[in-house]
Amino acid sequence: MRTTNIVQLGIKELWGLLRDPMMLILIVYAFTISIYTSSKAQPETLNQAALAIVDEDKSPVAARIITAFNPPYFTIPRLISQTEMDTGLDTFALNIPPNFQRDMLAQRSPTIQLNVDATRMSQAFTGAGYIQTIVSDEVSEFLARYRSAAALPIDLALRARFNPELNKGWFGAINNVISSVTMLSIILTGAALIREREHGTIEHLLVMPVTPFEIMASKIWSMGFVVLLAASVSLVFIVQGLLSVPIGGSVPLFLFGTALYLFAMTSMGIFLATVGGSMPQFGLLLTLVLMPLQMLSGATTPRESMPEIIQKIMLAAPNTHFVILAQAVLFRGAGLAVVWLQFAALLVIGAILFFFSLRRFRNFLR
Amino acid sequence: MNEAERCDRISLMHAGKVLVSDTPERLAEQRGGGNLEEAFVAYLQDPIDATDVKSPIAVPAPAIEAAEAGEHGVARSSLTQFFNLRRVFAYTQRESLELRRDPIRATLAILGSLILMFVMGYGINMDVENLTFAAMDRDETAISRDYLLQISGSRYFTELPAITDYDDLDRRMRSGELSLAIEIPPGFGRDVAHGRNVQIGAWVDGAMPSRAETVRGYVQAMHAQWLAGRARQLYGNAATAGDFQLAVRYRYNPDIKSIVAMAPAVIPILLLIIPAILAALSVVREKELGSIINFYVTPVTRLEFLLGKQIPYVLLGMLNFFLLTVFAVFVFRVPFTGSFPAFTGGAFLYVIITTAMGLLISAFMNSQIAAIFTTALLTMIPATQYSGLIDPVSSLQGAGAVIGRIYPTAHFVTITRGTFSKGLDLGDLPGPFIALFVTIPILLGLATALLKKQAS
Repeated sequence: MRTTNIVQLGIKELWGLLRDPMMLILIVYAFTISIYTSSKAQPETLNQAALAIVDEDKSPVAARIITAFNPPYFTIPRLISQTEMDTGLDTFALNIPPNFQRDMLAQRSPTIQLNVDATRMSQAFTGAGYIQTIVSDEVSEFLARYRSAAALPIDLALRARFNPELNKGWFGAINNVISSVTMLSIILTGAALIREREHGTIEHLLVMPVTPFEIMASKIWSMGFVVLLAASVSLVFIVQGLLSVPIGGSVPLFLFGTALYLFAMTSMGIFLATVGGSMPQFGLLLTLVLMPLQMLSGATTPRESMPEIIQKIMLAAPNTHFVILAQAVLFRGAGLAVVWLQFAALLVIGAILFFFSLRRFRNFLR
Repeated sequence: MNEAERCDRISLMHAGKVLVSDTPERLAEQRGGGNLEEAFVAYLQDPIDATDVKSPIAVPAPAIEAAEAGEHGVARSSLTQFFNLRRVFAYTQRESLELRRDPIRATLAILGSLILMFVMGYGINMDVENLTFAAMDRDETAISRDYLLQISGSRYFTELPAITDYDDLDRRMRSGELSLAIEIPPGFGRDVAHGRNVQIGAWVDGAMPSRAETVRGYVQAMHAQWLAGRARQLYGNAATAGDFQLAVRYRYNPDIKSIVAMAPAVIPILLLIIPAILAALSVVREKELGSIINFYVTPVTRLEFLLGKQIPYVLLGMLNFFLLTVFAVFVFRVPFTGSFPAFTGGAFLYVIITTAMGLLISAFMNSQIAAIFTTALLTMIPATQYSGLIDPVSSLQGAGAVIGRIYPTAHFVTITRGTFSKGLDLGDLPGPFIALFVTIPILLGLATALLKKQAS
């Protein structure tokens, strides 16, 4: 093994990448536009929720409740009949019973029914909470004849740490950096290997005095370097600069973690390229491998709500550790003392993947 | 003939049948007495003599074929020249053979959607359960413990060892170990008993905003419940009856399980992406490998070519559809309440649309890898963002809202959720069915118009 060989072969890879416009466009897109849009396009949890009201009372208090719902949280309520309610078109349907006002003033505690379409999970809970609050505010205002806020004797001071406004754009931006790193690390290394094979230049390598280890190491460092560079540039200029998302922890620590992660993922890219063999096959394999890795890693939905067996299996994937690490460092400002375990796990998984891929790569060259 | 002599092997053919195949020298020796041209004539004369016995007029081979074609041409109506089922099925057969002999594509076609269904069913999970919480109880009285007990006793939260001090709180929240931390101030029990105002502190990990919002909702609800419970203890039921009641009914999914909401909505996405990619590949592959020349030079029309390519993928799509439905009902245990025929009919229309989308995209693509990525991008983003999978179409704004109204996936999601969870049938869902029905001729017409019958 000679280090100069690895360096020279890696530089050759960089030249190859520089002359592949499609890949360059993909890198630029993944680390700029894609991050920007996924940060800006995150809708608020409750936005224009479809609400319908069945008003069987037609009293002043019912009218007050109906006019209380406004965009942007809710659509202007549609007034429907009881039978229309069962067609399931709206997310929420509020049913004000006959004689509601009379019964309320007579202190008979009448019941308003709120029907929620629970297949719309994203709005069901929050929306029901908002509707409850809006209705009871309107009713108590009507009864008290003035607007007031009652002070509770025992107060709950609830604060969200690390993201006080619960701004989804922050989450979207950083999450997209993570998924771009994942996607490109596999695609670039895999494509670098397959390009050689399809163009026949792998024959050149075979007759040169270089070992498979040197070839593989060169592809790993060069493509890993490109992704690392792109990720740090986009983190500083797009995420912190353009989107002004505050980063809690140390960026160098995150980049160090990214480097370890790239070691594992680029090895996986080589492995997939040896299985696929040709570009189209590789592309199909990617759709089957990338999506499960991304979705089950805990990047978009919390890991603890997945079945336990999946949580355990996913511990073997480098993505899981990288997502834990990235979220801890970038959102919560954690230091090495907190995330050292993830670093160790990435190193071990990376080493295993590397040697496994190297064995396959040797067979692939034969 | 001069060039032919230089070949390694020569096959002589007549009327689509190989008569003989050997090296030029051998052929020349066997029949032509050393001359290849003589041998050629001799070999071809045999079958022509044989046909002479049958047909009264002796015509050379090419003339016979021309005559046959002419006769058929008169017999066929002009319609069959433009559309011939035999030619369609020829392409169908060819395509299914090719699919069977490509292990990676065949696996993707059959197992791919099942694997992804499994992943997405668990991956896009909006249940928030087993949240970790820890308390810093600086009061340690019966009343503070009562407050904490009702949080740790709920099914949403798992209690971890108590927080010792602020450093501990900080460290554990940073590592992501705690989703919620509760601090009860000293003298809490005494102040409550005296009716003085007190505050309980609660910190939620805001790193994942949607989870934080749910946690916040849970904590506020539990706090209110605890207050109401205490009021009932002190003053009896009358105090808590209130002016009116609001009864919340969660319909179609009474347990509010994420899987019931997600699994039916994932089916349309999977029936979109994989069939579209495969259909696009079926055409682009021919372009890249060069075998598209068969389409350029044979009488097959553009529509026949596309339909022939589409049929195997529509059948595959339907197979996938049944597998996914079985998977949703028996593995994910999502109850199916509506009309299955309506659901199947909708799926059939939808699969025709998704494969037609792949064919339409294929008109613009020349390499397979570009076709895979473009199809995945063009189908994934509208299907996951604008089709009501997570956010209802009514919540979308601007361009997203326009896409959500016309994109076929949005209509099929309505059909799927309606038949799966809401107990609806064909009569309740005329809009989406009409929309799907209208989309098919538009997409196929565009795909046919844009397909080139000549190399550019």
